[in-house]
Amino acid sequence: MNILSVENLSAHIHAPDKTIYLLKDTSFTLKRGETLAVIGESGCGKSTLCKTILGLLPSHFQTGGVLTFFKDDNTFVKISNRDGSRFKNLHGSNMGMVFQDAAGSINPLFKCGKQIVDVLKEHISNSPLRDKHQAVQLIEKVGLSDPTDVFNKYPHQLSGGMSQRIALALALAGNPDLLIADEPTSSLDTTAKIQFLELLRELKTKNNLSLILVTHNLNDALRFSDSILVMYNGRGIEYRHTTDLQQAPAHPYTKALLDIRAALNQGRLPRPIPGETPSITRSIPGCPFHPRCPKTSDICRDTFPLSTALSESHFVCCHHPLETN
Amino acid sequence: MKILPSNALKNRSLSSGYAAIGLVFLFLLLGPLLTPNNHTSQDLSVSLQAPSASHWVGTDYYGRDVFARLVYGGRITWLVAIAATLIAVCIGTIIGLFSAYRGGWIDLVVMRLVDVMLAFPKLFVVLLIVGLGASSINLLIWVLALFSWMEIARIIRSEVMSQKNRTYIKSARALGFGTPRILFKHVLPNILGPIIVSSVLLISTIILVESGLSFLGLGIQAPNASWGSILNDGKIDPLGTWWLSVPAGLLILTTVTGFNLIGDGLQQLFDPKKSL
Amino acid sequence: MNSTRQKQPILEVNSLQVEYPVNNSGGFRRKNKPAVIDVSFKIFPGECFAIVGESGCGKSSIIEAILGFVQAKRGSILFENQDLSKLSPWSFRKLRPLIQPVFQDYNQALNPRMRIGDIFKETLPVHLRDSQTDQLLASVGLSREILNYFPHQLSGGQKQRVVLARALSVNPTLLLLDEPVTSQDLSVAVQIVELLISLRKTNNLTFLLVSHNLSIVQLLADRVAVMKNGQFLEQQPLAQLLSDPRHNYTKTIINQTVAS
Repeated sequence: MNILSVENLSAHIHAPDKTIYLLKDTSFTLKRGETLAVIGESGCGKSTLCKTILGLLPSHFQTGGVLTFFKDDNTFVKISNRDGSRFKNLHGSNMGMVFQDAAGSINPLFKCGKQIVDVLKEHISNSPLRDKHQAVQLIEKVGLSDPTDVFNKYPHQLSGGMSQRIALALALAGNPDLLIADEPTSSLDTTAKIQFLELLRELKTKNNLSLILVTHNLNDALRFSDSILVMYNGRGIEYRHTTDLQQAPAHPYTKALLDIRAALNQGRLPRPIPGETPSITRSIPGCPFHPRCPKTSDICRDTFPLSTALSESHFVCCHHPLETN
Repeated sequence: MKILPSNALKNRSLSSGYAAIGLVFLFLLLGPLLTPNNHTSQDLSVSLQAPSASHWVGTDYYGRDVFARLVYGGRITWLVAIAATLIAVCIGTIIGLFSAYRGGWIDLVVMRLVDVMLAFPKLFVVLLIVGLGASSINLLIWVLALFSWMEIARIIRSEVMSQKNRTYIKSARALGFGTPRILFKHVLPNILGPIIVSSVLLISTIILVESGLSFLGLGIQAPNASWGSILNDGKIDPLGTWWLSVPAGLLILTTVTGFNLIGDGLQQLFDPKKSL
Repeated sequence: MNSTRQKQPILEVNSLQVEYPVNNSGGFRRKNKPAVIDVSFKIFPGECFAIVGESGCGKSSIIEAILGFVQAKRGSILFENQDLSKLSPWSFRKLRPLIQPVFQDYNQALNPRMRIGDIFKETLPVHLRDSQTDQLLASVGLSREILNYFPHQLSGGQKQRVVLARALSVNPTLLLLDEPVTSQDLSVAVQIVELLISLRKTNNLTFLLVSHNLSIVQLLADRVAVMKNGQFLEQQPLAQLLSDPRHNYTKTIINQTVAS
């Protein structure tokens, strides 16, 4: 059962001398209860992908492609070309979001409890007493001890890890089926980070929550996801089941990243990928990875490799994909 | 450069400000070429005449041509305002820079000094000093500057405090650069925005203060003129001798509004969040 | 390795105590929060000494104290046998080029209004400028064209290389590396680490490396100290720390690194 289908999603803006594509022709399908990790380095377009799915891009951005959201009552909503109102209907009740900067997503002027109640009022109207009760339950659900105490606290009185959990509670208050988390743990220290990701995993199992997790940390992606989308220079270049990807990556870039990770885990100095990650303002002809790829050939310099289907909806975009059997 | 008029067209405040100031500036620059009249020559036979062909804005009590006095007075007004602003900005910048960068008790003492000066009943002290110093334009400029540097110092201090702990400043310190070099070469260029904006706004403030003083008879004295002193000339019968009140008033209004618009326009360019 | 221990330490920190005032609303009562408590260590020429700990454990405060940006409450810091707190401001300033920091925030480490070329002009003596600039750029893997750019036009990796080059341009003896690759992408981090390793050899440098990431520390460090809540829990050569950690906290950190 699918919950989200993304087809050829793109986003661009017009600069005075050229068009800058932040996201190009990215596609994937998310099943209910599945966790998709989107990985890639700075400037690869993963944040833009999130914002495009959520309809949160500034107005001067132009988007393309089709988004289909499948609700649990077997209806679906198809969105193409940025129809703001249709997105708005989905926010909160169907799609929730957690951002990297927890402190920025919570209003510093109001107590945490009140903010959660506000969200509840918006989506699930109840009596004030029931709202408060539900809010306290939510706070407990995100793993905070002494929820009634936290209910009455202001955001600045909480630690980084706790604030991030409140941001999660706010996202879950509307009871969404899909949660999109854009680097939710980057500002947390290692212990808090692992606890937060474990919490997400728990929620996924208990509540059948579908999750899109954007992260630049390969380890977290491999550990906490069911499938992975690798992005480079604004495009999805590989989309696989996590276990398959880990055992036999199809794209040379993915393999290089996995090799670096393996070397670090063994305490060896990894072999660096030559060259620099291209900035999103540069458009590279052919395959964007070709200047740095060990398997580059003439066709790589000319044409962008269209996706080679590997199985169901999984794919890789490479002229010389690695063996995946 | 963003502040140049050619780029300013997109910014309404900036373009209208430049237009207003430009017009007044042209008036001040070319004025004497347009009229044969002198601003000091008295001719009691033509005293208090309404605007006519020979005296475009009429004459004052002493028969002096008001048009010429507006041009000459305008130059004095602008000179005083710009000079006082420059002095105030220099003093305020240096004090603000060093006080904020050094921190500690120097900062504490300097800021209390600023507080004391700001709390002073300025009007009385200015009246006293100006009353004693009578007709000296230089004294007027210095007095105005001495009571205006504090605001600039405060603004600069807060900007420096925010830059002081930035990594590039820490790196400069670690490289062994001395304080003056760090302040003038690294900090100052990065806080120019607020300095320029407050300077421009200070010009219009000082114009108003000087006009007010001259209107009270305390600022610019005869035979010199300023727009405020021309207003002073017309105060006995402002409606009757409207050519003494209205043109000068309009010029003050246009200039002050013009500088304010430029200040606001620049503010929008440098830091859109703070503009009015 | 043993031969270095007979030499004099380049940096010697004894019983360092650093405190920061805690902001209390109203009143003259100023409470101080200790960030570094009774920390002692020595760094010998040519070695890389690492301090590992979570953010907030006080490791960055040690660097701030060495650089003189914060006054130590107690303890002493000796650089090449000179007590830094006893030096006159002028003598201390003359010493500064020898102790160069590389801060975590490479985005803010360069003056946004200066071109890269001008940044180097500031630190290189006039008569040697051209040849040394070329040498510097080559040593960090950058090409001449970046000299015309402003910092915001460079990528994260390029910025970090410029920061390194600038630090090297004043011929330092000791580099203080505060989370040098933490905010970088993995592929860039690996390049920078490789660069640091080669620079240490060619320029005969000594490193003080501060990081929460044990995987990175493993690649560079000779000896490691584990820090928590302002105190050193243990100090050992790298291999020994990994194979025989004495403290439970150390074991936790090692496990977290391996598990990921």
